[in-house]
Amino acid sequence: MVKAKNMSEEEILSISKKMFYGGFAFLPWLWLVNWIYFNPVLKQRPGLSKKIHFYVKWSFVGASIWIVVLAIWIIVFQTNRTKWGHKIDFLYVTIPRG
Amino acid sequence: MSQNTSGLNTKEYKELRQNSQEELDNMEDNKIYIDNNKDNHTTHRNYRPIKNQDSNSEVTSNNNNNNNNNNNDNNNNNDNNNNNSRNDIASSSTSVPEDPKLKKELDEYIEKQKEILSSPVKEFTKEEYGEYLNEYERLLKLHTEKKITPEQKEELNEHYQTLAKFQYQHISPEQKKEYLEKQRRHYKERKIREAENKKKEMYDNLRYYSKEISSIIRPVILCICLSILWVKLTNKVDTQQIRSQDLNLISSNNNDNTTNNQENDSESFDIWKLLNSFANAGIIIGNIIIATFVILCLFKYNHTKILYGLFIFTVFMLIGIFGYNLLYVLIDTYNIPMDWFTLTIFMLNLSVVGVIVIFWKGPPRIQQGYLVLMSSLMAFSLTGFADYTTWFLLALLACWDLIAVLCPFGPLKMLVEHSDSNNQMIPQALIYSTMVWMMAQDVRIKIKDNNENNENNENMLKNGLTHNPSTLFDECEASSSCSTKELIDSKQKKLNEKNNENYNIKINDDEDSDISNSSDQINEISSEKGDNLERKSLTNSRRSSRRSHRNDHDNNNNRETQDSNSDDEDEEGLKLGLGDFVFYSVLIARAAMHDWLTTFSCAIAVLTGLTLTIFY
Repeated sequence: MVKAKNMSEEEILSISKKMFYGGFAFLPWLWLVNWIYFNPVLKQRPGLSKKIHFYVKWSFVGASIWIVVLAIWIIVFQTNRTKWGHKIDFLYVTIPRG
Repeated sequence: MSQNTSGLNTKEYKELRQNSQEELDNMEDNKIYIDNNKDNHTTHRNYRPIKNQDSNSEVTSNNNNNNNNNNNDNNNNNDNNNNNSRNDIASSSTSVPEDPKLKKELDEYIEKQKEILSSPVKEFTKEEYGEYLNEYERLLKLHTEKKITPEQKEELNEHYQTLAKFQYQHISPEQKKEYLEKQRRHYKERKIREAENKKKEMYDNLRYYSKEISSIIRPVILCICLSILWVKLTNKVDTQQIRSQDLNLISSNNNDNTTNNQENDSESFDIWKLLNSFANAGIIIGNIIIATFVILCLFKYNHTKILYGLFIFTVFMLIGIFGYNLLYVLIDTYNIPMDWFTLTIFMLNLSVVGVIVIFWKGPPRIQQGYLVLMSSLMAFSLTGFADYTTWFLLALLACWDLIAVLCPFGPLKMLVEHSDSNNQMIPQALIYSTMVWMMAQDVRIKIKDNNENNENNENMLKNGLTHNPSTLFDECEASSSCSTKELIDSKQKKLNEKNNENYNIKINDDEDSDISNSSDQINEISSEKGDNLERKSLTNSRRSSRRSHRNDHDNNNNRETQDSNSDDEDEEGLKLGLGDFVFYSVLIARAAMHDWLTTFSCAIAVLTGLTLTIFY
């Protein structure tokens, strides 16, 4: 695995681009990986192109949106599941005992 | 020109040579001192003979002389002047009682020198002498510019020796005595410096090794801890309420061929149980053997695409299915009200990104994390079998490992040979994946560039070769070590070419270390302290790392596996096959099914064993 800071600019661009578009397939973790991968490099090497900044930044934004949405959903689900009763049984992985 | 004139440089030298005869005569007197003072000679700084540091006993006379003028320390080279003055101080206070051993050595050395110097040498006429000197100077210049070839180096040494002899035989007895005295002092200083260096080197080695080992052991410990965690998490509930239902679930889900290996704990020991588990283990091993041959065939007939597809599929399934199983068991046993939506998203992300990171690109940390996770999942799934199955499986795995690697028709050996002979790359993923059932430690180079610690003038570049009793690379060890040497050599060459001002490189090969399985190559880079050292060395290191990169790609055709990996892990020198992870983790996870005491004692035993295998 080549370290990100040794990569050429084109390589970084292509990878971050692919990761960015790949993330749209319900893969927020890929976006986050993209950000983790290239954010330090962007800080170390200021002269990189705007496109990379764009991809990395929006990957992070996308990932955070996903995380927030998921968190909201989980909270809503956990707090309201007793209220909703048996109507949402199909959502459970395993129906909790008790 | 008095005899005390020290530190003549080449320029003055040249002037001298071109001048009239008396000056030549004068110079003849001085010449020895000049050469003798090559220690302080700035131009000589970069002359580093590629040979063993402690060349005291069995060196030829040639080398002796050679050493004498260029055994300048790699780390002291930027304070030559200080060194010089220190030498003077040291020489004025030689009355300090010497270590008897050192004294004896010194005397011996001087005797030897005397012998060498007074051995007959052909007489020179003036013109011949001038010519000879000219030649010598040319070589010296070449050497200073680092364009010298080994033959020329030899020649240089010879020239130097002849000149020294010639001059020695043409000076007065007092001068001779003084000269010898000076020689002795230099030799002594050199010895002391050598000793210091050795000590320093040893400490560096130690530090390096401990770092290496900790970098290996950390992931192993992590993997083991994860496996223990999985087992404990699922096991706890197992003892509380469900009574081995989880284990049933895992086994029957994971492996179709182990349907009848679940026995109740309450059932008494019987031979059928043993046979049964043996059969189960045999079936699994059979699968592994078939898989090995399939991989071999695919590799041999160049279906790398299919191979990659297979591996990607395998990894995906491993993370996806085993991870899902584990999660499902956890959700089930801990009564977590989880919804399908979250679970699906979570598993999709985990497995798809895992495949991407492992097979394509990704941050090294995350990649390592995935590998550890994968191994721990694998280990966990293996512990799901009945008691004896696991043990039989482990034993059979070890046997198969030995057969596959050491037999002439062992598939893995064939595979490695094939890749060597055809200049074909073993895909990295294959190495990882094959190592799932292989106890093997791979050889990797650690190349650390200068920017890590700028304060230190020298850094160790080293390649630790470790060896495991039942490793894959027993027979490739030689080749790998030679390839690493190639690599380092070529790296050195490039460095020399490009920034010969900033880097001094020394390769210290002690190949003939008696423990043949751990041949270290020490590459010391010492950088000159400049005004803008910080920035310069940073850029240099970046450049050089890139260069090594390119270099690797050049070399790729010969030694793909070693080379392509060598620059990958800047952080990690040695690489442990995933097989080790799984193997150790299975052992410990198995133990973790009982109680904590067993778990910890097993863990300690395994880690001790691991450390020992790394050391020896």
